[in-house]
Amino acid sequence: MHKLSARHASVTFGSGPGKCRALQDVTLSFEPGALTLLMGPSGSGKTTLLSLLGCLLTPDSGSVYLDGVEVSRLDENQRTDIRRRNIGFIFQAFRLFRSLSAIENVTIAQEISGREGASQQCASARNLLSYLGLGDKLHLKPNALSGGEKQRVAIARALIRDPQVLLADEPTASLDSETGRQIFEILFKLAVVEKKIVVVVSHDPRWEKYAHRITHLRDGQVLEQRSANP
Amino acid sequence: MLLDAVSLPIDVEINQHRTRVLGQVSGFSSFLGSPYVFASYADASRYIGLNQEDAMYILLRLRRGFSAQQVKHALQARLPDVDVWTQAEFAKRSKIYWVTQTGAGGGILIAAMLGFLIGLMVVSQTIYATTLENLEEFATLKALGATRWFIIRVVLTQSLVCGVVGCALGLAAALPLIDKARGMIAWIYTPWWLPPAMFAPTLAMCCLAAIVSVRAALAVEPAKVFRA
Repeated sequence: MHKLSARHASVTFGSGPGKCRALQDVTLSFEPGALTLLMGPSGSGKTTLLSLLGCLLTPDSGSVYLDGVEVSRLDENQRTDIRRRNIGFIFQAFRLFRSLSAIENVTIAQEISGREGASQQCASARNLLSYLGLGDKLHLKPNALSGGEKQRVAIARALIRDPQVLLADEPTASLDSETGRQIFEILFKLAVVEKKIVVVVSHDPRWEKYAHRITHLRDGQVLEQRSANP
Repeated sequence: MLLDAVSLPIDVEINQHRTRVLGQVSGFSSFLGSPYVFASYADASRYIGLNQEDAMYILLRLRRGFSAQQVKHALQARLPDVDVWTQAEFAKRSKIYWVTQTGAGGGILIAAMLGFLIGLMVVSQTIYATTLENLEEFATLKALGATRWFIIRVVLTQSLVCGVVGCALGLAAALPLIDKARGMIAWIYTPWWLPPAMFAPTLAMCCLAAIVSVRAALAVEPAKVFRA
């Protein structure tokens, strides 16, 4: 069974007097089938931790393991490969490609993987977007979609390669309450039904009810960890 | 002499010698556009004030059935102090003269190189600006697991599209101008393959122009995606 963990991980940005310790000796573990909510004030290290877990950063000390492999020791190309095969990202600012339609924004993730032929890619993307309620908006560009629709396209893009790990950074920050709730329900289902490791960064305590585990960070350290019953 | 507007024959004066123009040829002019006068050898010598022995060159037309090479060798044997050339040899020497001795060849070559360099700068700046504008999208691609080659392919495609569109617009503007110029200077020669062949150096230029942009796109940190 896949498992994601950070062990005694520390990350420092800058040097000299401007040096900033973004994470200090963080040890956390994330299980499949569970949604973990990372909470904490701005500058507490939530996003740095997410970057670390997503193989976008490497720790100065400590390590990150995915499925038993110490990914923090891998080189850039190997970490790119891990991201491509195992990790899906959902961003606060959606990060959709402006010039591509909704369906193209999803198929580009498959194109990067080079897994399926073009027609198969289109069919999978269409099915997934339809499942997320965007069947009639496949060919709209991001600027013609609402915030919630953009985020659902971003979720489809993250899911299309069926990654084991989903990392979401403030996925509801730009959305209204109702749309935010819908997004959290989708993430919750992905954890419970699809047995994915889902890690969500959020400031908003309203979403605690969807979490199996809540981790509070402060000043780059784990302040509190508790289990919850969603 | 502009004879287009007058009816022939017409009496004219060449170097203070009165003469009559009986006809005109088209599609033939000198490199610099000054007119040629076709006349008998005696008249030509008179017009330019030379003795008949002072001719710079004499153009011969052979009767049917005579070989140019045989006549050339025969004349060369009889006139060892004179150069005797066939049409092809004369054309080749003329080309070499204009290209290497007059500066015209160097001028055209420098103009072409300047054009290439200016094109390189324009495409390079355009692609670089587009890349900088979309750095966050490149960071997203990298976060999604795009390989270096995938990123290079995206930048190269943008550069090539820019180059092909620019080349097509450039040719659309240049071809009517060449046509217009050909009406005034008859020797302008544009083989059919030249316009399509321009695509090859254009595409090479685009690939060169993309180098700086590729470096910028590859250097972007994928972790940038989390910064709102």
